[in-house]
Amino acid sequence: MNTKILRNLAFTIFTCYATLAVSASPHWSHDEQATWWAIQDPTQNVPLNYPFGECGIGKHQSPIDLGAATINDSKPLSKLAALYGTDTAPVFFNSGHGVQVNTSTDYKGALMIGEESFPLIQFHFHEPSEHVVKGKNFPAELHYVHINEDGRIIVLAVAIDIGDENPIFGTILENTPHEENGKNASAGIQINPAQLLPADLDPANLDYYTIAGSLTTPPCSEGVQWYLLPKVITVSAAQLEQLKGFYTNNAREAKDLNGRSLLSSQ
Amino acid sequence: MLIKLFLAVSLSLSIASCFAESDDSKSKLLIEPSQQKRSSPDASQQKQSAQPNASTESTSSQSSQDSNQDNKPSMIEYCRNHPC
Repeated sequence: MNTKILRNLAFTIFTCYATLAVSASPHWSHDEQATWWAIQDPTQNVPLNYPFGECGIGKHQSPIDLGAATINDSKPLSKLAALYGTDTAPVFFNSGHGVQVNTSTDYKGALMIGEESFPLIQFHFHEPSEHVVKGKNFPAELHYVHINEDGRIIVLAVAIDIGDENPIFGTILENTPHEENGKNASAGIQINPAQLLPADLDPANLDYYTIAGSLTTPPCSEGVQWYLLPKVITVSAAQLEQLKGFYTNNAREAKDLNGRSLLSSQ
Repeated sequence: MLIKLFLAVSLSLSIASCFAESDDSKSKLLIEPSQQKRSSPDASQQKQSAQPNASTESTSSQSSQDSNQDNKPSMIEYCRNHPC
């Protein structure tokens, strides 16, 4: 009887471990970004054993050097509107790679591109910026991530410079857990993501640059449409240091344009 | 008599095949109308709440969309747990 119980217990433990091993993504860090493509998942067979291969072979990777891109402002582009209302139950999340805020599951805020609506899923920060201008980084960069029900991913990027402090940014830093994968869902704090947009822009009719790209973290999936605002926001030097207290140098280096142009609505 | 019968049958088949061809010349639908789902309450509510004024505040709604959670792209769940 005891033997049977021990055998069943051992089987259960083994099954749980095996399941975890299969479901967990391989570990990666920004320090090893040059070889993300080579990270192997030994639990998978070819080709899934290189889950981040697109980071190495993709031709439309992000970020890019905006100063190296050809800007085409002759094409008519869709109207861009960031219709972000207040989220009453955001989740402050330490992703293990950056400071992130997940919108609540019934949050209605969205990015309107023409007549299409792309729900805001989360926004997060990189230090320094990922997009550069002629090789020069901004102190930080904000990414709003939107995903439509058909799976399309849209990222709205805002460069961050040093200047006046941003109260919302401060609130985010104060409520994000310091432990990796920590989530703070019970802060009872309301956040309006629109308050991180440049104040002198009309959020209902934004000027922008747009380019096809990818996720800037593994698996570096392409098919992501990037929208970059031409104006920056500011945070204070102290706030930037506070951000760096979480993660520093969590930015991917600029990737080859491979013939891509920046389309401009201006 | 037999010849007349044969000609009548041939003519009938020819006419029938012409109609069949004209039906086939129409493009077939990729998705039959009976398979198309109507837009979810999520989409219609998004359109209603997407006001031109960006300062419009939205509050948490009831969990009417909970029934649609299972149909969300897996990337949503991925990006809630990873930086993306």
